[in-house]
Amino acid sequence: MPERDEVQADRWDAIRGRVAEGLRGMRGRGRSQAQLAWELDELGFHISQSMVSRYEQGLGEVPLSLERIVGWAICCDALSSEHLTELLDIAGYRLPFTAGDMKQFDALLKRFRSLSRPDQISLRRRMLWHLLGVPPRDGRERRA
Amino acid sequence: MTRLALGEDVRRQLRDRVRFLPKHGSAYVRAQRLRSLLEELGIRCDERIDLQDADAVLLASAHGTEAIIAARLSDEERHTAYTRVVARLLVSDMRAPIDARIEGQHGIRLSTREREEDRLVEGLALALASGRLEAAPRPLYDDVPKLTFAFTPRSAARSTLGGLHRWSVLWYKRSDFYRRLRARRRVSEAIGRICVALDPNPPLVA
Repeated sequence: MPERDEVQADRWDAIRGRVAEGLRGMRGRGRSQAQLAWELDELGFHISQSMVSRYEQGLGEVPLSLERIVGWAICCDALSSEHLTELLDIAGYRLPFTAGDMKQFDALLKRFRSLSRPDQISLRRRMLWHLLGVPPRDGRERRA
Repeated sequence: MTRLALGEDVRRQLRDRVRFLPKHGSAYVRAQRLRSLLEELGIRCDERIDLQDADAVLLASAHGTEAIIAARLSDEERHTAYTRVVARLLVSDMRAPIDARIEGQHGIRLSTREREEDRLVEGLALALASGRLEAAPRPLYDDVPKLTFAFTPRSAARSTLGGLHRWSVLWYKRSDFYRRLRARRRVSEAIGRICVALDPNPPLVA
């Protein structure tokens, strides 16, 4: 585990319960932790099922990054959910999109669900980059 | 509301360039030509993605526009995919903050408006691929007179032409029969003559 400042650790301790609640809310009941972990992995995140479980119980040792929170929301089609808005607020992150914008992101994600799995993953990964404003990196897409 | 990176000026430039694209060369050369055109206009093109069903995806957001072309396509298919992407850019109203259009086989249920848009794209892409843009209605790739209530003989003729163009586009997206008819060489030539008769000296566009 990387070394963290005391204040950072204290802050994470203070918010991790609420973060866990938000993460559980985003996943909802229709999606298993295993499925979420698999989808996150396909998106390029190194998050196992046990890590999903730990984060959802508030046991994660390291604060969740903006990228992971957004990736989590993409996999759960929860970009426009109140859980994500609250989570971003708690964690001190901000995305430059309005609530209406996020609804459109979600609508697009839902449309992508009709595609084959590999196509879905490729497009979701692209969407992640567009959401975060990061240009695609060469070579990554071949995995999908 | 967030704005798309794909602006009206890009679309206008694309329209201007498409009208003067060379028509010769192999499928590979023609595909590369379209790719270069898109990249010159700031649209990223990626031909290495392992898309299984879709042939191409056009994705636009405030962070840029990209054309994703399936790696599995042959040169001919890639050329077709590019013509569809170009046609899509000319015809579609992409919505902010993000929008996507998928070309090829997909299971997405389309609305009536989207199906009509697809027909426009299909017709224009075919015209572009065959090197005969005039086989598609001119408003899709060129500036045309508008339908207005004008009274001078000259503007009345131009207005009539504008009305005919609107009618043509309307039927082009609704009727398979009209689309096939409009693509015939003799019909395209006849329509071209009508355009010249009604608007013999079209104003130069800056």
